[in-house]
Amino acid sequence: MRLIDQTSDRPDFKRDLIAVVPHLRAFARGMCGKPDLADDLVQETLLKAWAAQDRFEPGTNMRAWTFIILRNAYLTEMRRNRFRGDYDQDFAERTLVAPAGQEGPVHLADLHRALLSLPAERREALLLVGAGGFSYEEAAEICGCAVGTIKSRVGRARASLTAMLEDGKLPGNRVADAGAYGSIMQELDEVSHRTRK
Amino acid sequence: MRGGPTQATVAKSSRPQCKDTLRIMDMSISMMRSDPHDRGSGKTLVSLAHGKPEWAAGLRQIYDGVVREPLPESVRALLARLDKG
Repeated sequence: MRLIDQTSDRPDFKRDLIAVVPHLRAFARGMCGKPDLADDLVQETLLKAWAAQDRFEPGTNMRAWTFIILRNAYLTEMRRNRFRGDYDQDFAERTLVAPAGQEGPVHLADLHRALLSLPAERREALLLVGAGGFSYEEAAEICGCAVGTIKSRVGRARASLTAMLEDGKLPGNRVADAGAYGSIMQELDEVSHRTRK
Repeated sequence: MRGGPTQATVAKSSRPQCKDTLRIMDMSISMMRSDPHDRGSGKTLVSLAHGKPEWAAGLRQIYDGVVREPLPESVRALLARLDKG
């Protein structure tokens, strides 16, 4: 892929693509957990989007279009046993803190850990609708499913997170936690687990 | 969620329980269907709209926190390459 030689006579495309990068990073981080893997995914997405710019229809939703590319790249990497929604506890503890002025610490790290324990389909649905600001219709287009399916996934994700967080029943961050491990591995049936340890 | 939530509990520590911690957050934004462009500074949390779970604002905070991060050098370098054509 000769990106260096490939020019673009569509400045709007470049501008709009650059504008969505922070959102791509946020979505990738929510799916992957680890910042470095998420940024690898984003870079791969940018390369693919750049190569496919002729297929992008000006005036349409750049964010949704690139999210589709990123999602497909994520699924591909999952099948290759590379991205498994790993929770980076050290990073989370360093960065997921409440802004100054709050009455007490907001343990977003717990929320992040709970989010990563969800099956990927429900996690992505919740991220798209609950955090990314996409409508159910847009999220369905990104995920390649019916609107009703997205609504179901969001509803189940919300119920699961609520149960985990309000009841204080969070998945552990060690493989020894059979419940959390089983939840993640159930989603990744086709992925080899032997290299985990 | 298949298999239901795990039975592991938050380890006893000096940190408050999740339920109490989340209730410290005083929020009043429409979380699930808000305008994606209306992010605000993320510094001030307001009361949750009716029917929204308490963690919903936290989810947005996590997402928006990444959006506001400076781009890493690797991504900036790639964008520069693309921009140069």
